[in-house]
Amino acid sequence: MTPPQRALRLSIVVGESDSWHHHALYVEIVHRAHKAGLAGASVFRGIEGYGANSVIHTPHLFRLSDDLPILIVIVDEADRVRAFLPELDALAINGLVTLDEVTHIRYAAGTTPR
Amino acid sequence: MRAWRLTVLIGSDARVRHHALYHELVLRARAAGLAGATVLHGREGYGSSGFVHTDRLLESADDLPVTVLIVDTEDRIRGFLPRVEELTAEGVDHIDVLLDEVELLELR
Repeated sequence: MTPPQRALRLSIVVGESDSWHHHALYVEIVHRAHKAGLAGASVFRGIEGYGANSVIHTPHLFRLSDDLPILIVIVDEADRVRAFLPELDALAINGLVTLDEVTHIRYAAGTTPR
Repeated sequence: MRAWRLTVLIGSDARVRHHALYHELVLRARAAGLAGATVLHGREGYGSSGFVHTDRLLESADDLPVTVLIVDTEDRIRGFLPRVEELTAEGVDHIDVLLDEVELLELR
């Protein structure tokens, strides 16, 4: 196990149909995180939801099976995550963006005391 | 009350003991008497391999991100961590876990 380390979790909620230059915004975010060398990113799709974002892009609500909420979670060292935030500004994201501190532990094969 | 949230980040294809690693984690959580476990299936992502897996492309739709969430008391979460770590001695290359403190509300 690596020693527990403080890390920052960046959570971004956007709409599935939010787009950036003809492709999905969440795809662009993952692409930029990857290009920035961040440790990892995971994308989850919600099954229902609404948010400020939807007011801009759809009349009132995320429409059924159309503009469902997408959660993107990125975890890395705080400095690296914060350095990535200007990328989100550049994408003019209107969704929910939160940061929270977590403790990260990596358990790796070959390091486990038996 | 204060509680701890354990978030385990793995891939959907990771296997141990002839079944999915996320399933093994749920079984272990239940065996340990933890309050509950939730498995979330992602549709796109990457991790330490650097390869972006996505359900948008058939050839890259393997090993999608999976998150296992468990919330319980600090002591019980701490007590469970060795049960996660020992999976790396059973063929799992590595497991990343995140811990954070949350406030658990008991609504009745």
